[in-house]
Amino acid sequence: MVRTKALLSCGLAAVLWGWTGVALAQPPATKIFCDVYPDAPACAKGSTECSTCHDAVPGRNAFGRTVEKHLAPGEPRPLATETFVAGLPEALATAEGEDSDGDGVTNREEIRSGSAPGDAGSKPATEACTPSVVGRYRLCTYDAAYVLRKVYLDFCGRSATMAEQAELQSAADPRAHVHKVLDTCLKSENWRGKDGVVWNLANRKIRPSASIKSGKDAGPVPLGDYEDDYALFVYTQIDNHDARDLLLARYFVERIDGPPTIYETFDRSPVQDYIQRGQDGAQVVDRDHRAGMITTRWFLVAFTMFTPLPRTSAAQAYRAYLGRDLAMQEGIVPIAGEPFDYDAKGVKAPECASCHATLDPLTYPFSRYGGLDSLKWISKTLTAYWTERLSQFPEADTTELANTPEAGAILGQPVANLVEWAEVAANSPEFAETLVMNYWREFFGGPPTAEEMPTFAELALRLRTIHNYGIERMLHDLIDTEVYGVP
Amino acid sequence: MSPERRRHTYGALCGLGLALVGSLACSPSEPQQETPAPLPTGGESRRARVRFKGLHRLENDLSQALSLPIEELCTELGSEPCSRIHKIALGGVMPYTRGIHEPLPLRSVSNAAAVDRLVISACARRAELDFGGATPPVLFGDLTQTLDDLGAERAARRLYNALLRRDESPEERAEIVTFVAQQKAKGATPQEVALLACYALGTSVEALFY
Amino acid sequence: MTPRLSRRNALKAVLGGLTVASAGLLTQRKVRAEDPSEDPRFLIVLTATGGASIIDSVMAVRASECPNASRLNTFPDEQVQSIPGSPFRAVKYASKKVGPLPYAVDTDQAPFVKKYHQDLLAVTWTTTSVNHAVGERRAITGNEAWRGRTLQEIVAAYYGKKALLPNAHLVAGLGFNEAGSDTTLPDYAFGEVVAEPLYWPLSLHGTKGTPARDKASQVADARALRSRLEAASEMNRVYQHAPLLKRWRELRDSRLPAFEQANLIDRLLFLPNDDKHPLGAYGLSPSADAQRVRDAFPDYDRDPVDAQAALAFLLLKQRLSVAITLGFTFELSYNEAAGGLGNGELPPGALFNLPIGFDFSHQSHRAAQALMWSRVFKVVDGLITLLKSEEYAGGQSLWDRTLLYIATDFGRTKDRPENHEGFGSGHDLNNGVLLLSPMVNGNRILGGVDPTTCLTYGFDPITGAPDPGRTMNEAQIFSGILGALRVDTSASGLPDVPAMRKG
Repeated sequence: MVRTKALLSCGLAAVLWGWTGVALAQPPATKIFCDVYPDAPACAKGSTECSTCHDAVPGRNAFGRTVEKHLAPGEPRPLATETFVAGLPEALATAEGEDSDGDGVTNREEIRSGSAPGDAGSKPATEACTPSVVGRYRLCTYDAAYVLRKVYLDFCGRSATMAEQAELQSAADPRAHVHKVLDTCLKSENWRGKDGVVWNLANRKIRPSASIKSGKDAGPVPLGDYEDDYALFVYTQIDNHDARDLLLARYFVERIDGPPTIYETFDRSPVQDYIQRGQDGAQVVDRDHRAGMITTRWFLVAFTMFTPLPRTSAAQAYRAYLGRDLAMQEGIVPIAGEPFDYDAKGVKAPECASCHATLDPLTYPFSRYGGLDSLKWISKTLTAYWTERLSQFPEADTTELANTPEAGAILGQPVANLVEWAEVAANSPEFAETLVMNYWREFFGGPPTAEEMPTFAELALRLRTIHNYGIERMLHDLIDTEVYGVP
Repeated sequence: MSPERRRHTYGALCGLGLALVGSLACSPSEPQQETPAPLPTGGESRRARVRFKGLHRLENDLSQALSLPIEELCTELGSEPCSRIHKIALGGVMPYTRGIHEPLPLRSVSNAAAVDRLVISACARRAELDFGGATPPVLFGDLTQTLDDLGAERAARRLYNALLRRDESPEERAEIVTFVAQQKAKGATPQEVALLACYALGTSVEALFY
Repeated sequence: MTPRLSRRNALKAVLGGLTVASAGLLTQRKVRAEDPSEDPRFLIVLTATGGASIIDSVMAVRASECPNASRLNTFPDEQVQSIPGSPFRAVKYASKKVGPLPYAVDTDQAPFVKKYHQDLLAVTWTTTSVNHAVGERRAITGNEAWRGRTLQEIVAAYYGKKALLPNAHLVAGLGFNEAGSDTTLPDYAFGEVVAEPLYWPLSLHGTKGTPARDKASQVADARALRSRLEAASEMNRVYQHAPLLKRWRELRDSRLPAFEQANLIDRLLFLPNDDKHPLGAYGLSPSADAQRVRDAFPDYDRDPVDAQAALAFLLLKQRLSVAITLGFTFELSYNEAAGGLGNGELPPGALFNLPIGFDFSHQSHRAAQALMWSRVFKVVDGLITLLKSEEYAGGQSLWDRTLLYIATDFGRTKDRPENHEGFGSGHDLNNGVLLLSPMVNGNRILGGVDPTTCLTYGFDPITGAPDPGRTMNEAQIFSGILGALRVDTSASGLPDVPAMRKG
């Protein structure tokens, strides 16, 4: 059949094109900014946030507008990437002396101090914060009593009683006492039970849907059960288990309701699991091809569905576990020669290619894992992983589809398959940052400010290098920070 | 982790982003000396960041404060649990059926109304039990028929201890005593006064945010 | 009345071969009203979640028109009806099952299309994402066409200053519900989520219906006490400038009393006062229109969309909202009153919404589309009927001021295995959307469909002339909707699409 190809999935790039010609938000910008200001608090993890220049992408904030004014003046918009990259350092330098947001502080000072140069409501503190007392609060200093109250609420899910507060006063080492309480709360049902705090952190990653749930409390069209996904997620986050198992686990986890709720690992082949839990409940990927949360039956059913090249799966994995949302042009690491467009979706079009040069090689390793389509052939293969999967789409109107490689790339690194993909991902700084971000957002209601970025980056670094990806150790660090502990 | 290790950890983290806090917080000796130096009074939080307790914490706190099982805290129309009817308004999530994966920002008037309804129902239930005579009063026993000042002061202490987990200040105590007297003058019953004072304190920001 | 592109300018645009974008710049629209909220217009976004295909509706293609009919999504000629006096078509479709679901479908779009063709506008477009969440978001932001604002937010900001709930989302969790990314809009423009429409009115009053229902004066005293206690509290001193507490106090101390004063709890409750819902026993009374909306949406207590639609009407009638989002989700909605499997089949009326909504087309395209379109049209019919019966002012009905946008994620793939009737479809960027309103250029299809490919093509945004060489993008349709709603878009840089609006 001959037809004009619609640009399937190409919106990833087009999202930031103002169609009237508003400039494209440039992915390298966050990195270039930090090349220019390596010591800025906002650059603690190597690149700054889009919000430095943008309020509503592609709309710019006051600072962004200043930079834009000085960026390659006279050149037609939108700028070519090369022009943008070449001109940005000078534009930043020129903008330094101005006070874009009109708060009385130059952009240079704001960048150096960690306040937002494009937000008049954010400016460096002009006065030293002098420790003082207001009732139970000790201001401008780490306040162990305040931390105790927060720990009870954040982790135990209730306020500290007066007796529990009094225990702190009599403790020989108040800080040690707070950490002891934290350990207790980390074992609470509020923290680790079904629908508890950790459980709910997984909602956006799993995206459950009751109507297609299988297993217990099955929906009317049972296709997959997300209970295993939640159980694995929680398991990796408690008891200082290695949180990289989110992507590396070759085992599954069963939840045994309590209290206390207990999570136990198990490892069965698809056939064994079929025998044990039946068709509706069994996991479907053989052990050698498992990659934690991104090869569970639910993940494959919910995100891969019937798609030969499951870009949605790759984008979801990238967003959920590496914190990079390609639809927001985050995590763009183009691979030379890509996109090839094996499934003839028109992704070579210039407005599509800039994102698909990252997304498509990110996706290839997912292409051997069947979603709903695996029902057709799983009885032969006994696993939802099948190297010949792409030859199972006779209706595909391209002969190139079957030539799609399994090898791809993530974060610029080539990988042979999804297991390698997961290893690169799980050992990346981005993964650790995303883990910490999950909890940061939970406790602080949003991402770190530029001023807080060094603390955030240190937490992520220590999670990787000292704590062996034990989340509870990281949480002990977190409650010791000034961000958490100073009212 | 040992206390020593904790201090070491703190030392490492304390050095980060502490321009705000000043030298005291980062002093190497500070972690070992939590309270001794008297500090001046006054001031306010530089960061000014608070968090809404949300459905489960509110329920747990109310349940504990009022000695009521969670399922007895609040129903609508006699049978529908408030925690179901007002789940989202109270900061809950509905990931499985509504795709609401995390609490929504506090932007809706229903947030405030649902909190009022939850607390007022819970307080009314406690008052009903305390004044019903079937069991010894748990919270409102000091609000006797005379609604005298001494009883009001004691009630203030109990309410603050239960709902805010702290003692009241003299100013706060005086407000409660004045309120009780005013309500008495208006003909309110002790049970009504109990309900109203409980509602006032239970919906104050200190009971809802941290 | 909105000044429109003059003939002279239109001629210039055409003769000059100007792009749509530059035409837009020539025609930045101004609105005369000093305060648009004095004379609002209303937007309803009805979510056809999962991919509602325009060629399974008013732009269906007959097999006899297509040389590749057996390989494309064309219908047997007899299933595609023409609607007299209009360019629209209507599909009549029956099937004993919907893919694997043993559920009989028997639908006919003709009565709906005949009834509303004068207010019906079909516009084609080719969107930019086949990801559900992304496609849905772009359907309401025009692919971030105006600083990432959503249609609902724009309408709420423009017309909703005086409304108590300008932007009500009666359905949740979809890309259609996402907040826009322009934080410079006023707070009131952002959506308020109503997760349980049936009971939500109860959360519009702090005490009515509670044990303190007959203590209004005392509750006022208690609230005053609360303020004094807060003023005295240490937490208040420490966090007196916390943004979240400022917002909370605004909600609690300003907005809630306004809601209570307006007695929205009673004005919006449409539950019956019966044994199951003893409203009277709790000092509550249902809205004066409760019976009316229950009659219009009789499944209000079982079908979430019926409940949403009932509340939507009340919100509009009471001028409480200017933008309302409601509709179908990915969640199966089963009518338990219809009973369970009998003789291995689901009884008639058992399915209010298919699992994964329109996306069930993956399993069974034709039947899923037919069933879901019929559900959409049923809800739209109920809403329009109510809105037409309600006077706005000066002889105008509420419907005269309302635009209903049937929003969807994307289209569906057009091909099928040879002569396969039960085929499943994938996601496709190419599609079209339906708008219903007396304010749109009704009884028209803007653009068309190429019967040899079943792909839609575009139109001249100025004249509306079909243009097989063109496809319309999200920003254009987004702008056209705002234009029909007479929203001032002069500061937006959006293209003008006068072909979509009436008058």
